[in-house]
Amino acid sequence: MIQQLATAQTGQLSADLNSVRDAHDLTADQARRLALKVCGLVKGNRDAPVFHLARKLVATGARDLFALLAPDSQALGREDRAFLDFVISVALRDAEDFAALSGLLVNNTDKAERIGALTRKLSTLLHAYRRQVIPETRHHNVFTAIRSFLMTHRPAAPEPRDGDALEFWTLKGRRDFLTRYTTVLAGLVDYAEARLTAAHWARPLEINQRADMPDNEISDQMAQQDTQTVAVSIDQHLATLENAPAKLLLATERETCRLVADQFDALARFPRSALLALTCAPVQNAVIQALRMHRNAPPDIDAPLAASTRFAAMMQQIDALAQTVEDCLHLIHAVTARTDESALARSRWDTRRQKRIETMLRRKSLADMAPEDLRDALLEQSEALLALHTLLTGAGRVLDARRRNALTEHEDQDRRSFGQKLAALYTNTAQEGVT
Amino acid sequence: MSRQSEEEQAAFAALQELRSAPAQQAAPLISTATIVAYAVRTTALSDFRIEQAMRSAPNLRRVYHHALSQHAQAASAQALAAAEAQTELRIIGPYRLEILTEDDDMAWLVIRIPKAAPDIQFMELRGKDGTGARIALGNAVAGVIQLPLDPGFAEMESVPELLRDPATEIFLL
Repeated sequence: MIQQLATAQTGQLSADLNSVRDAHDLTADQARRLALKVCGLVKGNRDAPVFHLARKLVATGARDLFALLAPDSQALGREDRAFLDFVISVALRDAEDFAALSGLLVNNTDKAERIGALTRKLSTLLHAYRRQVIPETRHHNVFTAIRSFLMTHRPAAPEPRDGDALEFWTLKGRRDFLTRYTTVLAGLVDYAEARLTAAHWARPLEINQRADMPDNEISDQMAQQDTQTVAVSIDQHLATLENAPAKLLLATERETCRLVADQFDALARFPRSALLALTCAPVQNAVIQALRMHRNAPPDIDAPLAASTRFAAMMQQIDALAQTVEDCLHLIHAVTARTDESALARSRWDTRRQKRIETMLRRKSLADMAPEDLRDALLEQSEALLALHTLLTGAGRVLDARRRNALTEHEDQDRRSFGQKLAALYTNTAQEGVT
Repeated sequence: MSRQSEEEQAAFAALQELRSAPAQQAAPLISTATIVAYAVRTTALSDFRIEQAMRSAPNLRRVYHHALSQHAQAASAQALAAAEAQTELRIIGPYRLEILTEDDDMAWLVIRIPKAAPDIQFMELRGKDGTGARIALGNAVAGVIQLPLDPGFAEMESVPELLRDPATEIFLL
C-alpha cells in the first residue's frame, strides 16, 4: 500500500521517508511504522500518533523543539524523534514559519492546552503534506463527502449508523470516486472513530485526565499498537500459516480469515454493513476483474450476486472457522504435550472434535512428516492460530451481541440495492475505464 | 446544485488536476535532525550538500543558526553600531576578537580568552546569504589564540572578508 502511494505520484514520499530513515538510522520495522504514521494508515484515528507524540513532547518539559532533535538528546525515543523530524522537515521545506514552529512548546502554560495545540498544529502540517504528495489517499475528500451526506440526510443526528454505508455508496459512488463499497464502509468507520476521538478531545476534563496519566501508561508499546492495524498483523500470521510445511488451514479458510480481518473494525461498529461487505463486495471485485479482461462485454451481475453467500451462512462460516482454528489448537496441544498430558487432552475431546482432528491428521502434509518435524512445524503456527482464534471469536461475539436474526431482516433489500448500484456503475458505462 | 455538492465537485476536480499534472521535481528533503547534527558537529569539515541546501532555503538556515546559537559558547549576530566601518575588532560575549594586518596579503586573527571563560575550539562565520566557514582554532596559549588568515589556503579565502563585514554572524564553539 505504502509502495503504491509512494510510486503513484513522484516518489517524493518515498524519498522523504528515506531521508529521515537514514538520518535516524531506523530499522526496517521502524521505517515501516513511520511510513504508516505519515500516510495516516493507522487503526482508528489517523491523528492518534500525533497526539501520542504531542503528549511525549510536553512530558519532556523541553522548551526548544529543535533541541530535541540534537544527536545527544535522549528525551525522545528514536521513532518519536524520527516522526517529529519528518513533520518539521517537510513543513519547513514547504515554507512553514520557523518562528511559529520553534515557539510551539512555550506558547500555552496549561499542559492539556499545550498537548491540544501541539496536536492540532502537527496534524495540520502533516495533513497538508499528505494532500500535497499523496493525493491518492483521498481521505480528505472522503470525509468531506461523508460529512456532506450525513448533514443532508440526518442533520439532527449526523452520527454514522449501521446501514448508512450502502445508502451513501448508492448516492455518491461513481466510477471515479468512492467506487468500491468497501472503500465507502472503511471511510465511514474511520469517520465514526474520528468523530468519537474529536468529541473526547473537545472535553477539557478528558484532556486533563489523559494529559495527567503517568508516562508509563501511554508507553511506546501502546503507541505502536495504534499504528499496527489488525489487518497488517493478521496478514503476517496468515503468511506464517501459508508457508508452514504442515498445512492446518486450507487456502479458502485463510482467505475467509483475511476477509474477516479486513472488516473487523466495521463488524464491531456496523455489523449489517460489514456483512454486506463480506458477502457481496467480492462480487464487485469479480465484476471489476471481468471488465478489465473483457472491456466490451457487459458484466453479469445478477447471477454472481444471487450465488454469493447469505448473511446467515457467512455468520455460520465465521463460527465454523473459529471452531476449526480451535481444533487446530487442540491438535497442536495433543501432538506437542507430554504423553500423559496428551492423553488427558484427547480424553476431553467430544466425538465430533475427535473426528475432525483425526481427519486433519490424515492430510498429506501432516501425515508424511516425521513426529519431531511435525512437532516443530505445529508449534511455530500456534501464535498465528491464537491470533486468528481471538479474531474469529471476537467477530462471533460481536454478531451475537447484535442479535443475528435482526441483522438478516433487511438482507434482501440491501442485496437488491447493492445489485442495482452495481448495474448502474458498470452495465451502462462498460466502455469507460475501470477504477 | 447545492453548495456542498459544488464543494465536492471542486475538491474532486482539484484531485484530478493533481493526478494529471506532470511529476514535479521537489527539492530533496534535508532532515531537520541532519541540520541540527551538522550545526553541533565536532569537526570543521563541511558538507557540500547541506551547505548548498542552506543557501537556497532560508528556513534551513534559520534552523541551523538556531541550533548553532544554542550550541555556541558565544555568538554575535552583527557588529555593534560603533563598529560600522571596516572594523578590526569584534567583542563576542567575553571573548575579544581582533584582526592584525601585517601587509596587504597577510592578516592574523587573535582571540583573547578571559580566564573565567570556557575554552573554544572552532569559530564559525556566516554571511547574510548563508555563505560561511567553520575554522579550527587550535589551542590557546596564555589565553590567546593566534591564527594566520592565509589567503593561500582555499578555506581561508573568504574568512578575512567575512570577519570585516559587520553583518557577519560569528559563533565561537
